[in-house]
Amino acid sequence: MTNPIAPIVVNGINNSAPGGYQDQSFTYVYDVTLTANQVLQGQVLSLYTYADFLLCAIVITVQTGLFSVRFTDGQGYYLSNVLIDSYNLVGTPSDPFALLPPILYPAGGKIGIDITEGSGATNVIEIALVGMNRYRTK
Amino acid sequence: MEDYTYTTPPGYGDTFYVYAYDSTTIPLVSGSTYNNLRILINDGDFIARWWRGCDLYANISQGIQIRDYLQNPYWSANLQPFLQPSNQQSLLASTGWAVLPEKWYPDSGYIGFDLISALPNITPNVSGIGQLAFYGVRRRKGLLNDPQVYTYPSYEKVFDLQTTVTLPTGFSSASGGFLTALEVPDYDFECRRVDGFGGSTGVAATLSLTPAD
Repeated sequence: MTNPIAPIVVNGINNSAPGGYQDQSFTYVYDVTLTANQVLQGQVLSLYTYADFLLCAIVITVQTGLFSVRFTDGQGYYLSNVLIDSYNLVGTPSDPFALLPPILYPAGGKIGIDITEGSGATNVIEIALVGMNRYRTK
Repeated sequence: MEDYTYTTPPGYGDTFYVYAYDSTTIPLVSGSTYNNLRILINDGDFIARWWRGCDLYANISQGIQIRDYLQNPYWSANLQPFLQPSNQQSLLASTGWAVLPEKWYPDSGYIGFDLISALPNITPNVSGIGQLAFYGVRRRKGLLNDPQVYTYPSYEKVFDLQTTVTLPTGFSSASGGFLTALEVPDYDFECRRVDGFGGSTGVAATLSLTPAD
């Protein structure tokens, strides 16, 4: 029986990994400190080689000012036509900015990141790329 | 919303439970890093579905890493949501973090975590911060899920139970807790949500529930 007042994640969600795989909650963390108005393009977040990664949501956990950012999928294609302002990626850790459908990155793959400082001051940024490690079990 | 029925392994029952780590009961030295701190799991497996406790400055550390039962980390690098006061996102963390899919911890195991550059709260924990709390269910063999299936004709109505508790002067968590009872009148009652509102002095108190079987 579910508790209708509780979020679905608290009620419990059965494992929905496809046959031959098992999902484990995992988050890749991207930390960067930008100088005023700094532009960084082609940044790479390398993924571990032991599991595919299913990117489900983005949470900005630290920002000391406005910035804009753009990500790529596992093949290097951008996920937006321009860099998106951080204030348009708003979410909370329990209600994050969700990507639907989720994006699958292969084990050992890369998440590309373009990021630009927008506040005119030093900006400490941490972005949590929330998802699941998808392990092959067979 | 489409109805969704969560299924537990055959022969096991789930009951709501919270495991917490209170920084005021374990002295942390400010600025030190503590690796592999533990919350011990006992009396059944534990399924972690949600955690919180990194929303305010002078919480328990500047960074955190939590580990599953195999000591695999939750994150690829230490998370720093505590970073304050300039972090514009820190208050958003007050909603807590979903653990999806849920993480299973075995009976007699532990929830391990690292605290990077400790920021222990003052003692006693007068501001009601300085605690990590993991929400989920205990999974125990031979027990039934909460709530149990009704064996009699019934229907449900929304109902709130309220109580006011007056803590003794000078009371602190170090005193070992203050137990009070709230009578459930007339009908069976399923507790689905707990809200606590601040004390008359503006000092928050911690709250836990004990089933009265």
